[in-house]
Order: sequence, then C-alpha cells, then structure tokens
Amino acid sequence: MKVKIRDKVYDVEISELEEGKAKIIVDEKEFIFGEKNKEKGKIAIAKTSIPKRDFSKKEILAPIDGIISEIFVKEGDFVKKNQKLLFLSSMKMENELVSEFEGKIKEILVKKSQKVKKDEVLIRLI
Amino acid sequence: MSIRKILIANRGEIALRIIRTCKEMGIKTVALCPQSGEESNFIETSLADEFYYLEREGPQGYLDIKRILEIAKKALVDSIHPGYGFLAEDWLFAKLCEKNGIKFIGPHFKILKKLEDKIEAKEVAKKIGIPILPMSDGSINSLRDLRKWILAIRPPFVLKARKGGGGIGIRAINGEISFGEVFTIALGIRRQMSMAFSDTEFFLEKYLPEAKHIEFQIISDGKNFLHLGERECTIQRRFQKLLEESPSMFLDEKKREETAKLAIKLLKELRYRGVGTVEFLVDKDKNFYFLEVNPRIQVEHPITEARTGIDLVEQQIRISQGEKIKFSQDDVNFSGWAIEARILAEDPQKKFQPTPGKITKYLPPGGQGIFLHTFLHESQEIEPYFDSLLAKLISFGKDREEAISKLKRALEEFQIEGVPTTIPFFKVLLENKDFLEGDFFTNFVEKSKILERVSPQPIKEVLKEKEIGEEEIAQIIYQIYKNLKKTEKIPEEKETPSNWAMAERLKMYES
Repeated sequence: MKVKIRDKVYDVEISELEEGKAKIIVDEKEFIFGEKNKEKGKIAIAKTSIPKRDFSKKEILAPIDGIISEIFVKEGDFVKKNQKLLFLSSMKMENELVSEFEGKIKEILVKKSQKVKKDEVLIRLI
Repeated sequence: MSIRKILIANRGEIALRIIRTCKEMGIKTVALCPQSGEESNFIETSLADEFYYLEREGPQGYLDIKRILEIAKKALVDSIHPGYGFLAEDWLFAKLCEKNGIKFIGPHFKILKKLEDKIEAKEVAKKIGIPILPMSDGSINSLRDLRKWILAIRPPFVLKARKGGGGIGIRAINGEISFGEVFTIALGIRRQMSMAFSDTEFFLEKYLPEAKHIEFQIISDGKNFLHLGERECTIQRRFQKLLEESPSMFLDEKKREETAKLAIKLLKELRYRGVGTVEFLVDKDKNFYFLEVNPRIQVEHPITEARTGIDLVEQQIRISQGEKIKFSQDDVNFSGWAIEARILAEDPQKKFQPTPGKITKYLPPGGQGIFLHTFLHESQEIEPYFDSLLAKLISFGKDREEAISKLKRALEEFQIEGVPTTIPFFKVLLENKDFLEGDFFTNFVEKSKILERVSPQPIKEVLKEKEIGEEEIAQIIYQIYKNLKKTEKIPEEKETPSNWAMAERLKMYES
C-alpha cells in the first residue's frame, strides 16, 4: 500500500507474524513490532535496514517551487549537456531548465501544469 | 444606481485595498478563495462579508469567467471590482458582466477593447498629435515583415506583444543580431503570451534604453477630466516596476502641465470614463513618447493618494455608480513627496529570481509617514502560482529627502524571514548617489551594477519541517494497525468514555 505524508509517498507493507507481532516495511526498510521487551515492557523495534538507494544518479531537480509550463523532451530521448529540457514557471516568470548531464532520459516524473517543490526530482537520466 | 455589494475578483493586497474602501463606504464585499482549507493564505476571506471557492487551481481560478459570474449571481452582488491583472482589462469579461446585469468597475468594454490593442492605442495618440516612438505599423506576421521592420527601425528595438500588458511579452534587442535570433525571440514571446493572453501577435518598436518612465493619473466621469499628477516609475527590472515616486524630479511645472494636458486629450478622444493612467517614455531631452493607457487601478496608485488625499478606489466606485466628480482641477491639492517600494519575493542577488516559500517571521514597519499595503502574516505561504508582490511600502514626506529617510527607516524596521526579498536592494538603492540626484534611467539596475552591492540575505532557509524517517512512519502504521486489531477483538472499548468524562460522572455519584 502507499501512504502519503506531507506530499511524500511511501511504500508500506504490513505482514502479521506470530504472537501479535507485525512486520512493517517502509520504502524497503524493515521494522518488527510487538515483541515485548521484558525489562521495560515497551515495544521493541527490531530494525533490519536495507542499504539506501543510490542517489548519485543523474537527476534533474527543481531549483525552486514552481509549475511545469512546458516539457521539451520525452522518455527515451538522448540529451546533450545544456540541452533545454523544460520550462519551470514561478511567480509569472519562466525558468529554462537545461540538462546538467549527457544521457538517455529514463523517466519523466512530471506532467505539464504540475506544481513541483524545490529539490523535487523532475527527470531521471541514465 | 448606487452600489451595495461588490465581488472582488482578485487576491492579495489589492483585494484587501478594495475591501477597505468598500467598508468605509458602507458597501458589502464578497471575496474569493481558491480552495477550501486555504483561507489562512487568503486573508481577504476574513475581511470580506462573505467568500466563495473557485474551481481551478492558481491563477486559472481567478481567470475563470464562468465561475466568477456564477459566484456574482449566487452572492447577489451588483458589481465586480477586478483590481489589477487577471480580468481587469478583459473586455470580454466586462461585456459579459454588462450582459448579466452586473456593473464592471472600470471603463466600458468598448474602450477596453480599443486599448487592449497597443497599435490601435498608439494610432489614436498619433492622430491627435501625441508623439509615439517609431514602430512597425501593424502586426508582424512573417519573417519577411520582420526583416523589413528590423531594417527600418534598427536596433535597439523592442519586440512587444500587440495585446500584452504589465511588462509581459516584451523583449529588448540591443546590438546587432541575426534575423534568426530575432525570430527565435519572437517565437518565445508567442509562447509566453499564449499563456498570459489570448492573442499572440507582436510588433516592433524603437527602444530607448536611457529614458524615464513617467505616467499621469487621470480620472474622468465622462464629462470632467482631471489629472492627479504624475508618477515616475523609472526604476525597473525586466520591464517591471520596482520603485515609483511622485512627483518626478525630471519635470518642471511647465512640462508637467503640458504633458498632463496631452494625457487628458487622449482620454477625451477615447471618451474614457473612470480611473486610468497614461504612460510615457521621456528621453534625456525631455521628449515625451506615448506608451500605453492602463485602464484600471494600478499597483502604484497609493503614491498619488498620499499626495492628493484622494481615494482612487472610491472614485472608481463613485464613477461606476454614475456620480459626477465632486471637485475640480483647482481643488486638487498636491503636497509633499511619496515613494513606493515594491517588496517582492525575489532575490536581487540572483537577478531577481522568484523565491516562493513560507513566511517564518513577519514584523511590519510603521510610524509617521509610512503606509503599508500587504496581505502578509506569519506562516503565510508564498505560492509560485501568483506574482511575487508581497507588500507595497509607501513613504510620504514634505520633500524627496524626507520621503527617502522615512523609507530607509521603514526598510530597516521591516523584518520578513523565510523567503529572500527585495528589501536589501532598496537599502542599497536609497544610498546610491545617482538615484539621490535623480540621475537615473530605465537601464539603471543593469548600468549601475547596483546588484553587486546588495548584501546577501542570510538564507534562514524555511526551517524545513523535519523530514519524517521511515522508522517513524513504521511506528505510526503499527499504532494504527494495533488499534484496528483491538477494535476487532473488543468492540465495546469503542464506547469507553475518556478518563476525564468518567471522572466527572463518578464525582456526581459521590455527592
């Protein structure tokens, strides 16, 4: 299931274990609840963390809050460095976003007229 | 017919400005709000007598003629005040208002239609002997037209949208440039215009980089035409005004009277009725060239109000309900000096890049000779949807020097945190020798390199609400899960009253 908290969507999975215990996975991180901690009588959290995703990928981020007013590329396109990717408009002004990298567009995560937040990933390249 | 109830088809400071005058006149007001839950960001909803929700997001909501007329009918208003921007110059909207028996507070739609076309407006001016800048005599529709007019006018020139306004859809071309480049720029304007305005034709006009921007405020009831003096709006960036003052240091009494007469002559020719502004560019030799008529209340109107004591919104309403202007030109007393600084959510250090965000601290200035028009308050969201105007800070003194020292003092007091603003820019500007001496033109911001001297704004980044970690989310989910489990097993617990209520009941039994 997906849970939206403060504009961010998280992937959540719940599975029941024996004796009222539950395993909850949030964005690939696993937590186990319901084990009685004998000393304090509190709920103990067992954490098995999966290594974080690699964010050093080629991503185009929104420099400021704004609205996507035009997209010039599509998924699968090859783009050069400094090639025009999209227009981000904010406060009646327009900002041309160019590619910081050379590569193939793997994913476009926004649509025209969509409102985006600062640092939100707009386009992923490979 | 006297006006009893007005729908304000706008937002922010101008919505509040209009509501305030309406209250003073005993007129009921209706405000708009984009969506339910957004009331705290649109404080006009709490100042007006009632408010209604729009249907579309951002500016689209305020441009939604169908919905706005629907609200007007539902709220039983007799008039709509459009403010500035959005529908203020939309003749089709004005016409639809009339059709629906609602007064549009502004000039007649036929006048709006005429003035919307910048070329037509210039032709009227030219006809009655008001100088205009060399320009292409019609829309440019082909590369051939473009070539012809570039050769005729030569750079520097500006490419302007035929039906633009508010500085949108203007590009200056300074040096030598290839036709191809000009064409690309023209296409850029088209694209930008199709967002802001319905029409995308453009024309070419000679550009004066070393000019003063001076405009005259006119009011007319259709018979009497009065001028309320000039406003100099020379300090600009991207053809958008930053600071306005009245009077202008550049005009002597003779030139002032002469130009005011020309402005009145033009509006008489147009049979203008209402409040309007005639804009001119003035070159170094004090030659005046007509730019355009703004058939609406303008952002910088408070400096005229400060100098004349005349409420321009009140005049708009009175003229709309058919009243005659109750004073004559001789009754208009001009006194002192007024300056307005536009406090914008823009970072002057980054070429006035827009800076949406959330206001974390807000402490407004006040005191003698200071007026503040704003919608700001702490925790206000500054949306990227709307323009960047946060506040209009106006100072009024007996002369320019006094107005400047008051403005300086007020800028020092003014505290806005959460987003960078233009406050540091004005602090530097008010110390600039050329500005103080009146030796500045529309290219001042670039030419003076003043932005290099603007001190950086400690980006007390909007203290980001702490990012919620996965663990915290897992815990929340577990709590929900646990509660669900509980209710499954022992449903009667649902009805168990809280401890507090129970304690109260027990007490009753005890006594």
